[in-house]
Amino acid sequence: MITLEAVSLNIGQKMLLNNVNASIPRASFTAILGNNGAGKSTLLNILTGENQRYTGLYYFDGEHAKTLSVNHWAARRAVLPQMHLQSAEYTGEEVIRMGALPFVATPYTLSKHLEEISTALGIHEIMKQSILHVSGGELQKIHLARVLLQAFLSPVQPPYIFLDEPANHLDLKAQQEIFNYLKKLTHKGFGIVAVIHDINLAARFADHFILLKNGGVVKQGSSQHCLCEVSLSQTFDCPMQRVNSEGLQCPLFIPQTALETSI
Amino acid sequence: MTASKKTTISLFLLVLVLFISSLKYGAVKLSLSTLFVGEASALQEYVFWQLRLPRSLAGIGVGCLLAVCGAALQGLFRNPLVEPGLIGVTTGASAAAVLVISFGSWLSLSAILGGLLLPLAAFMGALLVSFFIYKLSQSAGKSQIALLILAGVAVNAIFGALTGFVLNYSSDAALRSFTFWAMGDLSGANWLQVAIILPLAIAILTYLSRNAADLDALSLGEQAAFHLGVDVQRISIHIILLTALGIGAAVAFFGAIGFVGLVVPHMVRKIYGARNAVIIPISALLGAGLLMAADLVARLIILPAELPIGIVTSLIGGPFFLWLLIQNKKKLA
Repeated sequence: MITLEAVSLNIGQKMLLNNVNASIPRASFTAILGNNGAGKSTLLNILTGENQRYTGLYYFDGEHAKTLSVNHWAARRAVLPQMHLQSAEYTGEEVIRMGALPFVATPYTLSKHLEEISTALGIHEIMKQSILHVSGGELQKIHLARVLLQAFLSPVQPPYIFLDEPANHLDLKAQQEIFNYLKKLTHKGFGIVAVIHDINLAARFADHFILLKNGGVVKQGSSQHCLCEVSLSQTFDCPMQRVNSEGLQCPLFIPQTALETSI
Repeated sequence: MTASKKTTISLFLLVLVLFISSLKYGAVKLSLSTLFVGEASALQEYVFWQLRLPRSLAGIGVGCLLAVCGAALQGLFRNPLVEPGLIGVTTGASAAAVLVISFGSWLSLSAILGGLLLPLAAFMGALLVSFFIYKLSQSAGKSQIALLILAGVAVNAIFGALTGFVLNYSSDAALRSFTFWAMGDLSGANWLQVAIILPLAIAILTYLSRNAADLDALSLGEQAAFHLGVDVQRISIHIILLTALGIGAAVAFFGAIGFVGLVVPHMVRKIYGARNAVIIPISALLGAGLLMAADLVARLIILPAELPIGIVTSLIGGPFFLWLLIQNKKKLA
């Protein structure tokens, strides 16, 4: 369980996060939503242990997050960054195997997990290619595979997986498949935490929400609690309209300006 | 047997052949068999034990150091075009070394202490520049390589001027030996230098090979490396210290032997891929081989005189670097 108590972060005069209180359970899919500059990435950087300049308290499984070593962090969480640097001509598989770097794993365990991940993401073909010559979506899948490998090999089971805009570059089909797979992982106890821009993708797969605006939490909690026109309109600074669709478990939300112009 | 294994074995054999050739050939041709049965003349014995063997061993050590340090810096800066000479590290070491050569006699140290002072000073010079360049690259955004190389131009100009200033106050003899040294020269290799260079090369090679996976993770960026449990601060400082030590010692003893650190890792990457666990040790091997080959050319091409080895490596490395730039045109723009 992750708990934040009165977490704030100022850089110079600029307030990036203001008194954030939140809890993020395991075995759930948490979506962090908000506009550009709302503090989503800042919050994620604090959660992943990169940014330690915050004030307030951050407990990771009851431990003070600031006391965790680099290795502790690597065993407790894996992170998919928003951008992927590629400076050398590694093959996809070599990059994926970097996920095993923090741990000692037998070749058997390693290949078992590699097989499971590459099947789930459908990347058998691109694993042999150089990462300099694959498409954006393929690169995203390779890095996601690396992150999953780290999570699967972690000695602290089940760990958290932080994803900064995981749907980036993925086509619709891949988005559905991958989010479905992530959802299944939450049933095994993994804590999935993702910054997501597409509210309807989030509404469909996430079951826990943190709505951010101007560095503060608008609302957090379950779908029923957070997914309403009022909260979302406030979060996105744009009137949102709820649309119920037949046969769909979750509501859809459409920005009203878009509705008006299309009619 | 895989293709890369075959290549590695051929490379091993090539280095062995080069090592034996570098012991045999030179202004005086030696027969190794007569030396081993003890029938060689005193002159031949002297040439073998005091000139050839230390020179060949120094060649192995320096080639290995320059190639491995080049590969490590390329990993740290996440750029295959980084070379100690280009970013000014070599010039920093040279300037410090020239200071010691010109003014070190004022300290009136014993031979061994004096011998140690030179690499230490060169190490400090190299360290100063590496650290500065590293800090600069950390704050830089996308156009990192352009910035690094331009900074290298500036650093080279500053330390070059400093070196020139010091040389202004040197004797003619010192000036001539400096000129030879500045272009890189293995001919003066002695056992004290070998005793410093070889263990240093082995230590640096061992450290970098053991931490090769961390270097791989660094290629994904410092952020991703941290996510993978790499203590980025620690490994960066270790690499900067070790490469400064290695390049400093190599430059202090044998001058600026350019482009080995660029050409060797690049060739290795072309054949073996990007993994540092492979690149580092194979670069050490190829670096040692390339340097002995260049040294053989340098001492045989204008017999009985010799060329500075740096001329040979620059004649190979310069055009190679230009070719590399053309290949990387798109990335640089």
